[in-house]
Amino acid sequence: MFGYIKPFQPELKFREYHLFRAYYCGLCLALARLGGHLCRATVSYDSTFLAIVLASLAPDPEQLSPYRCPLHPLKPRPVVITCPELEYAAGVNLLLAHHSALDAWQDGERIKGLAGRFLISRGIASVRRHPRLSQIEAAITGPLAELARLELEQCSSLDRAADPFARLLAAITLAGLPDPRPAPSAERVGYLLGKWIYTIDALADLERDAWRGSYNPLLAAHPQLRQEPGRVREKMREEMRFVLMQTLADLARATEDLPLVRNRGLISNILYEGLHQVTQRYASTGGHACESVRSSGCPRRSQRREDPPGL
Amino acid sequence: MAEKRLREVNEAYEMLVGKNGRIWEAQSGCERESGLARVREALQRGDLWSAESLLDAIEFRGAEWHFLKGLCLRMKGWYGEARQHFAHAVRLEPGNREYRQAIEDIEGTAAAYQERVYARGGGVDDACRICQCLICSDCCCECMGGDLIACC
Repeated sequence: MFGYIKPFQPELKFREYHLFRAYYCGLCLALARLGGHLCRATVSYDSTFLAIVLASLAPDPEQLSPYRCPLHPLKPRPVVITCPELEYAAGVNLLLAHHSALDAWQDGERIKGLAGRFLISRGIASVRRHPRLSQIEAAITGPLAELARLELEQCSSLDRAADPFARLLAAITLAGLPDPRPAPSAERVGYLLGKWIYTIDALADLERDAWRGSYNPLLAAHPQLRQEPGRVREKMREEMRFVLMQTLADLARATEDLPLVRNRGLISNILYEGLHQVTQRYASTGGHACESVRSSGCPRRSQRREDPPGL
Repeated sequence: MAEKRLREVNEAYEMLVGKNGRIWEAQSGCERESGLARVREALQRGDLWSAESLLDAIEFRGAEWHFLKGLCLRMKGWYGEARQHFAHAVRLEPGNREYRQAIEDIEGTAAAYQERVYARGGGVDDACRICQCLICSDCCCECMGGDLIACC
C-alpha cells in the first residue's frame, strides 16, 4: 500500500514499539507463508495497522515468539505468530499490491508493473484459493472499477474521488473483523482511514502526477495550472489541511468507539501523533519535502520509500 | 413564480413517492418544508441514504436545503463539500444561527483534535526547537565569555 500509517516513535513506549515491530515482522512472515519470500517485498505499514486494529478487537491476545530473520540474523526478534488477523491483512496487502502493479502497468510503468506482478503472482494465486481471503477480491473490485471511472472522467471533487478508495477500505475492515464482536464504528474507521490515505497520497504525488500527466484530483480541480503543481499546492493548502485534519478528528473519535481489548496506547499513538505528523509534513506551510525535483524534472520518490522500522 | 415553485414541489413529491413506494401526507401549502422536515427526521435516525435521496429529489434548493445537504455530506465524511454547502447556506441566510453553528462546529472539530494532539505532547516540534535554540545560544554566549541563562 502506501506506508503513511506509522507510529510516531519518540512518543512510543518501548513495549509498544516492540509490539509494532512484532506485528510488522509477523505480517512479513505471513506474506512469505502465503506466496513465498518474494512477496515479503510488499510488506507495508498500512496493512500492519489494519492487522493491529483487527487483532486488538479479538478476544484472544496475540502470541509473540522470538524469530531469527535472515535479514536480521544477529538477534532473534519477537514476532506475532499464528494470528488470523495478520493472515487477513497479508491477503489484503497482496491484493492491493497486485492492483497497484496493474495500475503501474496501465500508466506505462512497464518495469514496475511487471516486477510487481512477477513478485506476487504466487501469492495472488494462493489468496484466490483461500476460502476467506478470496472474498476480499470480490469486495474490492467494485470500488476499484469506480475509482478507474472517476479517473477517466477527470473528477475534480476530492471528496468524490476519495470515496471509492474509502469505501474499499471500509469493506476490508468490516470483512476482517474477528468473529463474535460487533463493532458498529469499524466501517467508519475504515472509510475515514481510506479517505485520509487517498487524500494524503494525492497531495504527496502532486508534482509526480503533473510531470507525468497522470490523474490527480487536485490538478483536475485546477486544469489551467496543470504545469504548475507548486501553485496548485499553495491554492489547495488550506482546504487540504482542513479536510485531512477533519478526517483525522473523526477517525480518532470513531476509533475511540471501537471495543478494543488491548493495544489502545499504540493505536492512539498512530492516530494522534503518527498521522498528525504526516499531515503536518505534507499540508503545513513550507514543510513539504517532496517538491525537490531532480535535474531530469522527475520528482523524487524517496518520500514514499518505506524504511524498515528497525532503529 | 409561485406556480412554478408549486410545480417543482409537486414533482419532487411525486419522485419521492415513486422512489419509496409509500405516500406521506404533505402539510397544506408547505410541501417543501415538509420534505425538508422528513430529511431532518431521517438524519436524526441516522438514515443517511434516505436523507440524501429525499434531498436530491427536492428541486428548490434554498438555504436550509444546503444546510441539510452539508449535514449529510459531513456524516458521510465528505468534509470539503460539506463546508461549501454550509458556507452557501450562511450566504443565503446570514442571520441564521443554526447554519453559522454548523460551520463553527465543523471547523471546531479539527481544532479540538489538534489541541488533543498537543495535549498528548505529539506536536512537540516547536517546543523542542525553542529549547534547542535556547541551549545552543547559552553555549555560544558562554564560549564568548557571557551568559544567556544564568542558572545553567
